[in-house]
Amino acid sequence: MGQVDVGGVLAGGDAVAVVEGATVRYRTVVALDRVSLGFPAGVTALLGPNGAGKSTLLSLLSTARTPNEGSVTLLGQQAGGRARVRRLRERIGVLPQSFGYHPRFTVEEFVTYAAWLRNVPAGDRARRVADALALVDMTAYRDRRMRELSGGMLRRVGIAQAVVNQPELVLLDEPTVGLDPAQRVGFRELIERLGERSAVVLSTHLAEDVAHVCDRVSVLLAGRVRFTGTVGELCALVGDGKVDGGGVEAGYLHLAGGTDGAEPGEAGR
Amino acid sequence: MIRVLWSEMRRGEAGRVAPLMALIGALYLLLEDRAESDWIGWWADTSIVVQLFGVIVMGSVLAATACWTASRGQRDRTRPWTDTAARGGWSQALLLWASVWLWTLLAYVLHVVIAFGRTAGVSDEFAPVWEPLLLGAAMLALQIAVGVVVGTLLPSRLMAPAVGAFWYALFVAAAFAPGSGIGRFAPAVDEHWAGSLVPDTALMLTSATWCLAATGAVLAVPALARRPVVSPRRWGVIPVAVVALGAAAALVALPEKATPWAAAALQPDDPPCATTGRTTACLWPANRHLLPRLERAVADVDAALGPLEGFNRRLNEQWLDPGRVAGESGEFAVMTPDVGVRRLSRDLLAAAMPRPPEGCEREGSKAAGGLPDDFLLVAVVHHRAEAPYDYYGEEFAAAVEKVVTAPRAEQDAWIGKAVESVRGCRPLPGLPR
Amino acid sequence: MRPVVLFARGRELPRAVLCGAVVALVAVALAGRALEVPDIRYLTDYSVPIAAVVPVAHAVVLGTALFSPMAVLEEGAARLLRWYESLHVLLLTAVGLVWTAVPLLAGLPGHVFASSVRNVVGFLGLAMISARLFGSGLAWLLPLVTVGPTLLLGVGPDNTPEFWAWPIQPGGNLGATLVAAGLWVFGLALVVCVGPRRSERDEAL
Repeated sequence: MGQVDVGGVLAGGDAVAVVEGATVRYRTVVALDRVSLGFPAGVTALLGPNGAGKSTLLSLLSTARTPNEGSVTLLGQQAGGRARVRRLRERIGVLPQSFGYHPRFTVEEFVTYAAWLRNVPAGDRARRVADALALVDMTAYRDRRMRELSGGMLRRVGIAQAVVNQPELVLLDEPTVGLDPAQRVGFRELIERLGERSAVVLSTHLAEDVAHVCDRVSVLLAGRVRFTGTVGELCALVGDGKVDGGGVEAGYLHLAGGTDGAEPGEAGR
Repeated sequence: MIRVLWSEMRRGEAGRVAPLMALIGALYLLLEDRAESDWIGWWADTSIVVQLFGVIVMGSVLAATACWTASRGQRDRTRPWTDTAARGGWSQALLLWASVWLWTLLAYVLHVVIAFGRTAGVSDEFAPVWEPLLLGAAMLALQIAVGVVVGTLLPSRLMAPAVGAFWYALFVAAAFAPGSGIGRFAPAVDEHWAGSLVPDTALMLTSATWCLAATGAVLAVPALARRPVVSPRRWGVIPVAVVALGAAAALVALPEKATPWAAAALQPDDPPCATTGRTTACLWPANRHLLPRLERAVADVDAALGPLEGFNRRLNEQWLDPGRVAGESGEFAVMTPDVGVRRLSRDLLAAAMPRPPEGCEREGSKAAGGLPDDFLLVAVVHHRAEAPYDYYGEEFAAAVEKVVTAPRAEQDAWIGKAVESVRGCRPLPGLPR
Repeated sequence: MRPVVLFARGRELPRAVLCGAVVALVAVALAGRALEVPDIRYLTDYSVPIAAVVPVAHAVVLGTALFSPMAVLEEGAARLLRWYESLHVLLLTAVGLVWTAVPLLAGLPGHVFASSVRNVVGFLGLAMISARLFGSGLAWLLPLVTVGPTLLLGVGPDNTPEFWAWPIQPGGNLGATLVAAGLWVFGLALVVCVGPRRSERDEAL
């Protein structure tokens, strides 16, 4: 099969976030090349190898950076202007791939601080922190210091701070990296719950996560969108279309040409 | 190994700090006023200045930098990875230390080149003195090693500046307590050698050996103290520690001196001298470049003294042995290597003045406004030579005026008697009427 | 109020205040002493009151409070943090001034206090500039790089401070005061307008 056509921009009210013709350059490196994507409600995966541009795309969606060309529309508004960006950030939650924390902060203090950064009203803050900790099953550890937490617990606290402001758009960058299989299963359930009330964009290179959690998937290779559609459509590129990790992987490898980042049709070179 | 070292040099903070220190040191050396400098022109003092800046200013800052770099593992949370590496803690510390020390040496070498270049522009000879520079490089090694150790064992943001402040404070403490021994173990040579002193090579090399051996031993401490890390082999650490202890023992045993790091230069067989009339002045060979100016200064002094008897006519730079010479001799100091003719003339004239014999205390005289009366003789002679002299009040000035306004023959007679009085430890003769 | 306290705690302000207290106590003990400028120039004989040098320590300690381990989260904040950063710097400066004033209780002369105030402001400005140029872990770099050459090379052959040696100028020297104030203002502008270096984003304390 040849290269999959990417149309992929969802118009109007379906999309919580829309990226149109976005190009991002880091000096001479083009991290994103005329990317156009829409992200509806539910869980959407960004799948691709390291360096494909997933984190860069997430940084556009989180308003951490603006594209050199193109536009980003979030929650029905153009992401531009300082005041507007700050208001948008109140409605967005972000779990970065790695984040720093004060080691002596307690879990509750850390999430409270994050809530303050997200402008959660003071009157609601305590309740929202409690709700966020409950969502990630960290209520029992609220007084534990951050430096005492395991890797899995840290990721859960990370999700707590990402959802403490009850965001309409949640961006998760490699949320299950470093977790054991049991923890990963628990995370998938958590992400599914998030997807029921927010639009979730999940950046990952783990096919299993895509298969079990996501409704839609966009495949990025070398800064370009190679595929966007449902997970089933990706699996149907190769084989019987069964939605599982193997199907996602096969579909991805077909797009990638069998090697990471290779152009489709270059398999075997 | 070289590749790893280069990689460490590129990513460490010393690659940013050392060029900054190189620039500051270069500015200091380049902007020094040659006419007022106390080192441009003297090879030994040039080396001392470069060493001193390197150790006190640059070493303290680079030690703090090394401390910060060494605490990287804690900040980046890579410590569990480096602690469980096959390569032991000692070699990891050595790599980190070497990366900082090499950057520091690059800046140090730049300073040497600049300073030597300036001195070569003044001095007649090319005779660089290496011992202080080697000692400085060794001391830099020890400073940086301490920084690495502190940063590894106490990785806190407060420790890096604390290490820098510690070295500054140690050098200040050593300056306040010269006999304490701190100076030998943390050498920062701050002496003025001019041409009459040479480095005490044995002491300097011993101290440098101590610094380098202590560096190696100190860098092993984190690997020995921290359990997860592979400890160094004993056959590696023990010899280094033994050398350090031996050098330390030697430093303790070597006697203290007035000028701790120097030894007297050998008396030259043929020092550069200038003679006019009855007056001769001689310099240390290191000041040979001043001979043309010395000749003019000697001519000035000889003209000023004329046929007057009793003055010191053989004038030698400080600590230069006049040998067997006829007539009285005096000493003068060359304070700056680029000293001018006028200053030389003044210093020669002052050295030509007769000195009272040892044990003779001259009392204040009414005529001299209460001051010792040999001040009067000095002032009279300087006035006649049209050289400046100190003003001690109206009464003193009046006494000088009385002498210098007398007829020439009377002045000469008075001066002759005054000279005899000073040498004979007797009061000066009465002023001319 | 609590999140603002967390903002300050996250930057280790309490630790900086405590360490500054220790430095202030040392300054009290040395309030009447002068630091002889070491004889690197051989011919000089100049003394600088300890209380004019101690502000370097205050600035370096307070400079450690310019680092935030949560820079990644703060970068994406909905809240305008510039005001809080500015207040934080003002608070650091106020703490420095308070600690600088403590030796007054031990009889520190007013003209020395004036030079101490100038120096704590100027060196804190250097710490802020250093933090943004080189990283907050090297906030001490410019203050230490300045004080070393100043003490050792900043006195001319005529036994007066060189024109560039602002930290050892007398307390009422206008030029030195302007330099110190300018450094502080520039440092504040950098802290507020320029974020921390990217290499700091994931650092721990």
